[in-house]
Amino acid sequence: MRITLRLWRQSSPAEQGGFVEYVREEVRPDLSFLEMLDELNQDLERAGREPVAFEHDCREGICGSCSLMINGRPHGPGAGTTTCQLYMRSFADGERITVEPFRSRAFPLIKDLVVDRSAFDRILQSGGYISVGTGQAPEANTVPVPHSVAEEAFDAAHCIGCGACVATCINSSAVLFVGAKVGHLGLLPQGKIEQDLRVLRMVRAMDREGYGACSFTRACEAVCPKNISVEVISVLNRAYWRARAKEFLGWIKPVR
Amino acid sequence: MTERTRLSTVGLKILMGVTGLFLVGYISLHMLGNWQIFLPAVYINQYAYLLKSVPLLLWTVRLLLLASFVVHVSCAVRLAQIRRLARPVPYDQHKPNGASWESRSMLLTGIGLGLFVLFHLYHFTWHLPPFSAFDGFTAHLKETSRSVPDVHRMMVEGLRNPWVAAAYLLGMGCLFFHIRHGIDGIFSTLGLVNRRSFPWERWLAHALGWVFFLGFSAIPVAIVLGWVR
Repeated sequence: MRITLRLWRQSSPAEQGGFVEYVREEVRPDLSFLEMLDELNQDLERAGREPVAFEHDCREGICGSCSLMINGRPHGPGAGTTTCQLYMRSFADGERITVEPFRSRAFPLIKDLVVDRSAFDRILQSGGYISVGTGQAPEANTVPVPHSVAEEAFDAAHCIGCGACVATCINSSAVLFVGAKVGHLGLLPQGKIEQDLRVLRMVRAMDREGYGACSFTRACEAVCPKNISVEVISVLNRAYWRARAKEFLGWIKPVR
Repeated sequence: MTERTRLSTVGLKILMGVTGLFLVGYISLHMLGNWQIFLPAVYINQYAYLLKSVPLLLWTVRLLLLASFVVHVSCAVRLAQIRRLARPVPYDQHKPNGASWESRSMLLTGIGLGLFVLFHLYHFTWHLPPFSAFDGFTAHLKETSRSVPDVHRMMVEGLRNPWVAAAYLLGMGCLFFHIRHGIDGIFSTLGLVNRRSFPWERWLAHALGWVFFLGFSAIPVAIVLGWVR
């Protein structure tokens, strides 16, 4: 198949960026989107030109490294898939494909299609953990967890932190990501203990990074490669106002 | 952001939701009161007199409404500001990706609604020109010795002009979309959404949108068509 790629090229944050078009002939439909970009880069390198920078790691849809806004949708047209699991057969022969980096103040551009998503790491560092030494794996039934709770926590734990939710949100809000972490940790006995502290710290860290608020458009859920449900946003909001009320009333120590 | 205000983005949304809920509660009562226009004139005139005759209640409600409105609008301004700052470089292509039109247009429908409310107050509360004639409309109730404002006549004369009626319908169009998504959002903001409750919550939000839209719009339509005189 033949496709026309319209890629965002920008050599550094300081330089002016712009779209560059590449016509690709004889693209095999069973190539993944990233393999197609690999082939483009090989050709660019052979011609002595600068290859296109894009992020990738596991290429099996579990690491959250790949990003890309493809034709106005993060991770492209697939449902519940990351860019690395997107195949060229998802596009029509002769299609013009626009590829942009994720755009948000919290995700500053590094080069071409690569953005810095360490804002997510800083949010996790603020409270996305449990403060107990876990040691060796304990006997599985020492701490009983109802199956439905374990399932719910696991659904939230699917989040790979790719940032697609932020990328598509009209407000660049990160609440689906933060909600997934708060939901996952807060449901389980080990994480429940620190939930108030965690929620206050994570929401404040999120605001410091400059993400917007939630308008509940549900676009995040629609593009999430791991199908995280917007119910985690409710989990976050509920946990936040409870913790905030306790803090306000002086029932817990104020959180920075 | 927390540097400039002590309110978090989640806190701002909760304030939006709570004040929005109060405003929705008010318009529910307002709509029920308005429906008395379909009864003989004495009903709505008596009702209006009743409301005006308890100044403490009237002014409590008015001040609460004004406070809710101010908080709602100032949170909206702050949130719009945060939104603009959050994405300095726009996308070349950005699909809605499942986001409904009303959910992406709350600011637009909100501004429309705010302008409508100003017009509505100008029209029916302040009676400023060219609506000054409404001040002279009086009626007699058999329970009172003094004459009372003829609200029935004011509504009929005030909405008979098709342009005014059209402005009201436009305002109600804004209300329809704003409520449809607003109620949906309140459930999420207050943390009441889960996969099982979401369908009925959305159904309720959409149903209430239609109830308010049709319930309010029926009045100018009936008056323009001459069904209410």
